Amino acid sequence: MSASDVIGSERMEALLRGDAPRSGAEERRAALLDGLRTAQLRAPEALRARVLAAAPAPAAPRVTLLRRPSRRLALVVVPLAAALAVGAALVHGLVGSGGGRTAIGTSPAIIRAIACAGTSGRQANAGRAVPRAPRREIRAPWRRRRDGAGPQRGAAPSRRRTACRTASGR
Amino acid sequence: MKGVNAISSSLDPPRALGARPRFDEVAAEQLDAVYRYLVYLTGDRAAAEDLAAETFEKAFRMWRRFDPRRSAPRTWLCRIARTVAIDWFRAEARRKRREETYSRDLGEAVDAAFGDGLSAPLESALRELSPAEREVVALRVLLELDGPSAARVLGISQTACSTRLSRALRRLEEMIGDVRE
Repeated sequence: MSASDVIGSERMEALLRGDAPRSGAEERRAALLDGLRTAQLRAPEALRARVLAAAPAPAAPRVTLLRRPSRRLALVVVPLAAALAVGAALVHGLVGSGGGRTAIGTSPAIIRAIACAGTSGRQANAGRAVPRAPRREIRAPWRRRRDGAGPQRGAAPSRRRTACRTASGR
Repeated sequence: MKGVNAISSSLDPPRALGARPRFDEVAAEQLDAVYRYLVYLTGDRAAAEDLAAETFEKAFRMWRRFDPRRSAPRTWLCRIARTVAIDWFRAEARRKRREETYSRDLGEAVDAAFGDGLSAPLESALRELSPAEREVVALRVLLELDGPSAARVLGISQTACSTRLSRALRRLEEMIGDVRE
């Protein structure tokens, strides 16, 4: 094959488009292209039937339109919901743990004060504010007093009564 | 020259980009083109038939991903067909390693694989080409894909695609010339 037989890419594209050949080499190339194109090769009917049977009905676009947003929505909503759940759990945990200490410190006094109000009508009627009870006295006030001024051993007041006194500031 | 193609009516050029067609319409329009491409690629009509069916099954599953603004249905289907065919080639290579006799029989058993009405020298010359050369001939000459689309299907540059086509056609010319002489 000589150098003059070489067909440039532009001319090749032109021959593929169906332009008329300009040289002997191009004529041979065009004849080859014609020879390739004249061959008939169709898909067998069995294959056609098989493929077209698997093709969707015309209602398919509606299905795809419904599917796409729902899937995308799920991809957005599920992680968002999970993130929100985790965030809410964290916030709840932080707030709950901080409030819990306060509640532990105050709640016994409040509970005792309420209990005293139930047993002592005068205190309840006076409507005095219930001061916060010092912890030391709440625990065991009669044991810490070593001067003997406290209640005698064996005659320790009931816990409920002591708590009422301390809660009312006496 | 395009009118020379006897089956050009069934292998209409790709429709305008942008409009989304229905899958059943695309399947009906492009089946012959995909089948022909696979016949050229594999050199085996029976295998091409199976692979074409597999291609359209896969295309149906992937139809939601098809974007008509990016490529024509024919280009998109040829890309899928190529992937399916490559998997088939790999499986065939494994099978041939196991059964050496089968590989010898395969080349001789298939007659007139590349189309009815093809001249005998051209038929035998096509058989001598590599699958890569045959597929570029199929894409550019038979399916009438333009350079960028064919290059996209093949996964190579447009220049490489053009070079491969020129080499394939030149080899065909040489082999036909040798047969005639």
